Amino acid sequence: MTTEPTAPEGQVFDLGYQRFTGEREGLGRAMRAIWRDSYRSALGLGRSLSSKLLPFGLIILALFPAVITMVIAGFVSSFGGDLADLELEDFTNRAYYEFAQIPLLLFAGMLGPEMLCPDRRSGVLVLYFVRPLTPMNYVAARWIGFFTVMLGILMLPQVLVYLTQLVIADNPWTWFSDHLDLMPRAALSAVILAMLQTTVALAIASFTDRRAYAAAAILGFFFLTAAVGAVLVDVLDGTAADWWRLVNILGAFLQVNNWAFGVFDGALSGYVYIAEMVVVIAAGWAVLWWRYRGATE
Amino acid sequence: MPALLEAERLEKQYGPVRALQGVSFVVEPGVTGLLGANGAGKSTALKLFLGLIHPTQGRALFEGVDVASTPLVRQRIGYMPEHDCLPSNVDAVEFLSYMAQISGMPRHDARVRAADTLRHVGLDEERYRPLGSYSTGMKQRVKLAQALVHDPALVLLDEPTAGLDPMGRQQMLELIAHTGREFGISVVLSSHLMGDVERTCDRVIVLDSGLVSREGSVAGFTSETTTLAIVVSEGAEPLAEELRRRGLQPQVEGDVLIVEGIEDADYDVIRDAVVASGALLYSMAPRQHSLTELFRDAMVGSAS
Repeated sequence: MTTEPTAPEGQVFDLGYQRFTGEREGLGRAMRAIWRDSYRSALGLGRSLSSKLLPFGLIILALFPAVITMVIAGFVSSFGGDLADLELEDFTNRAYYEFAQIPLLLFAGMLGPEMLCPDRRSGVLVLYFVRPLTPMNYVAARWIGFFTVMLGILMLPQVLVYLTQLVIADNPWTWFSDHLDLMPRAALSAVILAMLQTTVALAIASFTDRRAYAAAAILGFFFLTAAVGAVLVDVLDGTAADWWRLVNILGAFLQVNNWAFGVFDGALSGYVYIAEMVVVIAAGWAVLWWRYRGATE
Repeated sequence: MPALLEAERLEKQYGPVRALQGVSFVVEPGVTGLLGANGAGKSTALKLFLGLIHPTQGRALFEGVDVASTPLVRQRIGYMPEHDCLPSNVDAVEFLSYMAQISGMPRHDARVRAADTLRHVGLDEERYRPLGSYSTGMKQRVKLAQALVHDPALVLLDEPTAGLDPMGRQQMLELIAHTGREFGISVVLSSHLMGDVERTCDRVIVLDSGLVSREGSVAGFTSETTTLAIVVSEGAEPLAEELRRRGLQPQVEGDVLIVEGIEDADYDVIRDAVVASGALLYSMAPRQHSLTELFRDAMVGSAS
């Protein structure tokens, strides 16, 4: 098909097809590529401006109380005001989760489906599985990618809340040495909440290739369990009510959160709430396994 | 040295349906056609060679390695599916670079190869446009490019000309032939179109109802028997009658009589038959078998 160039000068060389002689990095490279694609598509990075609005809007929402409090505290102290007037006793890392789980839930519900639905809808999924990875490798990489984002969104305000408390303390050094365990506790709680919401979001998203349906189902799942839990507790009382309260998964997480911060006061043993988190996460993974086990056929 | 691809008594059963009935064949380097009607087992065979499904019996081997044993063999195999498989919101370079990395290629190499591969399939100007804005022909080229981007030793193409207009089909077939001959990447092309296989492939394997009905080189197939086309301006039926009486089996297609398996002595017989029947002979010329006829024969043979 090609002819030998015969012109004596001014030749144009077509280097033609180049074989790849470098090292192939197998599953590790594949997982890293999917991980990177996952957090980038969750945050809308490398996508249009409009696909960044939702993720960054929710991140700002999650940070909002922390930033506002930090700014006000900064103003008050720099103008010589009394910080005690601000009544910041409730502004703690532990209490912040009671607020932060809502923007995080919206994030998981609205952007979690982005991890799995478009790949199935466009048919690109088969192009993953003809490469050196299995369906469960793929799901795991997607999960880790979204978990990374969720953990980041939880830890960012935690750091701000922590720094605010440090700055406004009467004696920052004493406060620091008295609260050495605070950030590890905050991180433990963040890991549990991010695992819970990531797993439930992906498990529900595995049932449909329509993002909107998946988003509605994920939000519906958490709100319905909360509502049903509340109703059941209203109509029952005593020990039964304490058990029925477990139906409210987000409520149960707040007990785990208290446990993580060492101020647990739940009606049941702390292990019950932790076991509930483990069961829900394991069930989510079982669903993902079941939905993707035959995905190559 | 082990064969590039080998089916070893490969059998796949879906419930009561045996999609492949214990077939054995070897694919040599080069361009090989996997020809068969819909449901003949072509897609099943390709999926078995990719390790996407597991055989009920037998083994599928790539360079002597059982593909079911490790996904790593797929680092050096490319696959172009028949159906839509492209996301709409990313551009071609980003998509190809991503696919190369999922095949195990380092990130920098992946980006360089993505641009190179797009140039090879004839997409240059458009490469930074979202894939959703591409025409069918362009999408088909991107599908081929993603199968080549990680520099595989072998690509499996499932009906690569499906949905293309005649021009696009011609270009795609040229690209496939180019891939096999200039790039040194072996190709297995599955198709139900004999023309596709005839124009691009060195060898052909004909699948029929889950069995290999024929295999061999395309050149050998099209020349192994000589067919004579006798064109008459009138008297086709009487001539056919005379030929049959003399032991030949002509097929009558209007004014054309096709006689297969001609030997030198038969020309005298035909001459006598023309004279005896009084048919007006217009022309008489040998012609090569096209795969179409071979394929039709295979189908007729299996049906009876």
